[in-house]
Amino acid sequence: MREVILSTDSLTKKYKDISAVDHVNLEIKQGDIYGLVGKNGAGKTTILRIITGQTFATEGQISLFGATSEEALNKKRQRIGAIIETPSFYAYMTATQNLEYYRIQRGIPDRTCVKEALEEVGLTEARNKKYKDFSLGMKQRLGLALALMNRPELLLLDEPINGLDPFGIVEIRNMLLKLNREKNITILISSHILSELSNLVTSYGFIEGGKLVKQITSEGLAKECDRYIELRVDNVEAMTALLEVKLNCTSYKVAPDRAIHIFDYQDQPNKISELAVKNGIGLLSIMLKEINLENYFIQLVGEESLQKERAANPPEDRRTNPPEDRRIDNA
Amino acid sequence: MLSYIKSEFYRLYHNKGCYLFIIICSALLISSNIVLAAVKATEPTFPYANTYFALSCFYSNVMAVFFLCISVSAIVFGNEHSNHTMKNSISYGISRGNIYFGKLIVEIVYAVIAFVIITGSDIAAAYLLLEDSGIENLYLLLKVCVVVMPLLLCALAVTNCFLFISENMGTAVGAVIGLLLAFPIVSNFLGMKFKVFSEISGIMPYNMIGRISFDYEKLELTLPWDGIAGYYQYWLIGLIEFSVVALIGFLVFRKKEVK
Repeated sequence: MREVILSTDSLTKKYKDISAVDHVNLEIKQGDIYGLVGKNGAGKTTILRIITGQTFATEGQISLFGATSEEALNKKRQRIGAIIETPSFYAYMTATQNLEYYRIQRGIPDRTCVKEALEEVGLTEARNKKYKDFSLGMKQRLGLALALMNRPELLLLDEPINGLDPFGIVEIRNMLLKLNREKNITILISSHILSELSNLVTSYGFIEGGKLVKQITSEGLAKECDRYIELRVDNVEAMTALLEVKLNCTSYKVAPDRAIHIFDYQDQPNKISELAVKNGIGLLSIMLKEINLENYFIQLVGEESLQKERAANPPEDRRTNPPEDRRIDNA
Repeated sequence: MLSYIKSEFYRLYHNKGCYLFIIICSALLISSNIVLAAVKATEPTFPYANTYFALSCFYSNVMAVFFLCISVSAIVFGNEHSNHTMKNSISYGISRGNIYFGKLIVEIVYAVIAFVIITGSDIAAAYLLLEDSGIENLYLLLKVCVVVMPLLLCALAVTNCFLFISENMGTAVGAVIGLLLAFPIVSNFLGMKFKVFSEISGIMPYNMIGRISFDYEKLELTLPWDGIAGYYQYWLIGLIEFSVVALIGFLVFRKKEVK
């Protein structure tokens, strides 16, 4: 069984009354590439900042390589490499000088690690260029070089491909995969661009409003990202009741935009349209769709937002499967 | 902490600002000696072209050095907040204590090196270009340096403290000037009415430097406390204030978010 190298227990960070991170329980095992997915401001960076010690949790704790106390955590942080938010270096120093500064600071005896790190991220030619003259993509690469310089066991990368061109994105993705496969480096990568993670991560954590909405493996996600019939009608409640009673279909759900997603009858969509027409329900559209990662996330986050809305103000007419459905059917 | 200090010296070695500060200060002092020598060359009766005048200008204006300590701290601190570079150190597990006290130590070492070079170049220029008024002038200058040393350390500690606490360099420098200059002046005024403020103002570094007086005939300095005890008092008060300020700064920084 693989070792859990990073976990959080009810991790919470509050700024006055606002929870930036709300009771998050993460678990990352050795060898994972864990994708932390969320909208801007969802709390991804705050979690990474707590893990790296830049800020402190209001409640809960983190366990890094088994350490939980602040002093022990600081020691274990020497086994991680991190890019949090935009990479930052001294503008008046060159790429080599910046890395050499951190090499000395970190007490890394091997001087060649600077050269190797620059080679690894493709910055060898720009090694004597001052940081102030770097493009955004080059800055990202230098940040990655710093994260890799101490040969970490865990990489924490906050939106690492921001500013990279498409070739750079592929290059960095391949490099991360190589590091994971060949050196068994565990990676925690945050992003709001799902497509960049889809070919990379082994587990996902979806975060919204500071809460970890769902953790799922990439295999599990592949199963959930299934094909379905998207049905739009003028009476959602009546239609869902009919689906259950007449077609014995329970594998459906109502999306926040009031579309019904039906996971059965994919080869017989005419049965569904007939059912609607025969029962006098206005059929607006019916089509076969496939959930991609983006749609899955939007749906997940949409449901979370809807649940929050419901909790704050529960209107009867917004329920997906209200009791009235059956009344209509019985009638 | 040693690795952190080494890395800071590596960074300073590559920072032009460090050299510029020393060069500009030295050049200004050397040029003042050149001006004195030049005037003497054109006007033989000119009475100020001697080491007595040149060095007395330095030690009677030692307050300027006190405020230059703010620049020294700011140069060494290196815009860590606006550059967002401190997060790279914190993320690697370098403790806030190592960063805070490491910076302070580097600031002190740099300040000593810088002021030794600046003062040394002034003394050298004075002795090379001007009439020698005797070694006693140099002794007096060195005595003043010994007396004010802990107060200069205090100025460095105050600046270091506010630079770490405040994310805005302007706010930090404003707060430092407030504490090092405005507060002693206000305490002086309030001290005329309230005894407690009079006591407080007496131990403010700015006022302690201001209360150093000179007997230019005997070439001796006079402190508010007589004899050798005066030196001890300056060092004791200076070191206590230095320690308290450094500790307060660290306690605040220990809980501060680093961005």
